[in-house]
Amino acid sequence: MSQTALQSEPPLKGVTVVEAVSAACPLALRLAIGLAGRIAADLGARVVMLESRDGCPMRDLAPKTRNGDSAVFTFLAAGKRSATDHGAVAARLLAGADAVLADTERSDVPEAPPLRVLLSMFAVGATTTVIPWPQSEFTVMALGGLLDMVGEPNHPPMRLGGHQLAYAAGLAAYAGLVAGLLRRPSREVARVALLDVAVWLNWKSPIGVARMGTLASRLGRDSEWPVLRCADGHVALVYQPADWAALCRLCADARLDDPRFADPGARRLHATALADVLEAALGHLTRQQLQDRAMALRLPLGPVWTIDDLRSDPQMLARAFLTQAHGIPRLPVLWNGMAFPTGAPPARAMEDGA
Amino acid sequence: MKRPLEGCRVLDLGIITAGAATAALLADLGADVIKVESPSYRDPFRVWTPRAGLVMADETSPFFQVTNRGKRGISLDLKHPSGRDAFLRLAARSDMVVENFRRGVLERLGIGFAALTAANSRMILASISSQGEDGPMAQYVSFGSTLEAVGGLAAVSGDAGGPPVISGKELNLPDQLIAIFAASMVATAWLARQNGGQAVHLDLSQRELTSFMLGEQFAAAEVTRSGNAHAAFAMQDCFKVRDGWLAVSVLPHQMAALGEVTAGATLADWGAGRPTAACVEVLAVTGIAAAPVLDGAGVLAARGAMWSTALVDDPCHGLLKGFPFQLDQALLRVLSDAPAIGADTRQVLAEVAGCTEAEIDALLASGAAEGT
Repeated sequence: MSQTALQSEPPLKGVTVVEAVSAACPLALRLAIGLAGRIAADLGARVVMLESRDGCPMRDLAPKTRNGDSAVFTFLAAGKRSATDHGAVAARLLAGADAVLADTERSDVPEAPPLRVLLSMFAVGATTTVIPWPQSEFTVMALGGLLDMVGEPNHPPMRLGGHQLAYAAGLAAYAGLVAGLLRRPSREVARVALLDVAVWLNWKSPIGVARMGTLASRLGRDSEWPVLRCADGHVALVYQPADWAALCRLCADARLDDPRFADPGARRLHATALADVLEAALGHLTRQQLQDRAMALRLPLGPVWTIDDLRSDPQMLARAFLTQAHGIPRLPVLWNGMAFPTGAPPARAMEDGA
Repeated sequence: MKRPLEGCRVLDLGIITAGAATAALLADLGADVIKVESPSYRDPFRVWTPRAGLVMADETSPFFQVTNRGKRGISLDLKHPSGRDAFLRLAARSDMVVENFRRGVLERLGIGFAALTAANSRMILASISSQGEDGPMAQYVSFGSTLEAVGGLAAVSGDAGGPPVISGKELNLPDQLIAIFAASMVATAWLARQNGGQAVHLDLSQRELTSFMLGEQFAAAEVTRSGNAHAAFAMQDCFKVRDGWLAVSVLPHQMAALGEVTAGATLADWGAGRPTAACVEVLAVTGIAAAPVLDGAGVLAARGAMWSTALVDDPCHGLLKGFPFQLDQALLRVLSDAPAIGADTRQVLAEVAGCTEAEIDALLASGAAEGT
């Protein structure tokens, strides 16, 4: 396979990015800034995270690695440098940076960097009375409708695992960073609001209300794409109307000839009954068997692989997706077939003497 | 005011969300995006509906409209030799191609990376796929939630002891995420090109991005499903209150204050008879993060008050998809509606490809192109 390390100069070589967060910065924004900086570091930027004298709180955040380090810090700080967020060193780093990634509460971010990427929980100019009130990634997911879309209808709304919203804001912050770099030598400010990112991700729901009068909400097992049991775990039964014939071939079950399942509209009305039939028809197959047969039939089914499964997954191995040193993902892009190398997370304040 | 991608031309072969939304973001940043469809193959999003069985009669799906705004539209039959040649003439005068076809389709059409760089030595090709360009599963097909299952997200989503959970058809999270990431990688390649970089093929695997968004889980000694709970909070969950669901995140040092607020009752019992707004206010005063769980209508009602750039107004058609970030100076903007099929075929072939009127007439007459 072609996934060797990049030989040519990385695209952000020569760019210095400083991560500067306020003491009160919400965890969600720390995570977002951390991810944006991680992407920039992999792409060749010199990324310096300013840490308080007590160390970045993410150094202690669960889950932990086998060594007892924070897995979050190991992932997000890979390839970065660290400096103490105090005094002349921090001021010099900020003044000399091409860009700063910061939360809007960070009051001492100087005008000096030509590009500032500023993150907040709510959009600047929003007028809601809840703005001064505390929010978490979870409660912003609630306000953005993301929780309403996941889980079973009569059960509590559900978040997806990990930090999907915070990291999505991190992707947006990196996009804002590169957009700002393209504006050089003009000065620019890129702004990312966590709630706006949530609504942007969940656009179909408010757009459906505004333009079609339809209100989507979580359907769980009653959805068109249910998660079903199989012989050794679960499979997400993802398919399109055009895949129905192939799905019937996979199942080889006469119960699917039932008029209740004759067309997409009928299947939608009888989704729970259909899920029961499909589960009975496919339940004897393993995830690997389902994946092999889905590939042969060009069906978009999704066997539910665990993180442990993925560590030895043939596709992940073939594309060298996990780094050897820490087992964390490399940047998910190959540049002319080559992967960007991922560095190690920094010891504390390695640049204080710089 | 120079916009970030001003002067950059994109040929958009993207379909549904992943490819088409990537190109839409490039248009928002100032690129000239030309959506390329075919007389025999439309973007399936044109007839996509919010519920199976809900048929769009003559009207293009709003999902297509809101995702493809800001683009011009051309229709070329890439299986027709003349159509392919016209596409390569366009490529010679363009900077980028975005595509999310099944692997191998681009090469079979004769417009793979080698052909594109033969036409344009500084071409940037963004290939968005399920599994990446190579590997034993390169031919696997997927829609958004497939990636949640095969990328590890489903396995860490849901209650402990319960089944895995996916975002489903209405949210389809991986397809939204790839648009931001892919657009940012294309912009990075454009930045490198400004600095002398040459042709780039960006191999973007949606499965890998899904796993990347769970990065710490791969470093963790132990991975579990924990429902709404999170280790940073002593308690985090949704509770049924009088008029809906209440989302609450309680830090460890806030548990005593919570106990005082609820007079020792569980949060579920305390909130059961109270309206959401009252619960949020009382908890907020104690410093506890709390919010109503809004549905699409609630989200819409909060527009302007709580959020602003995520959706934008279109004077003719109502709300459009907006932006996941904004710039203070070179504002991201939507400058036009989504194109009808082949709406700009003649103009684009003349202006960009440099075709003569006679050549355009011949392309239209042969069926290699359609439109006005």
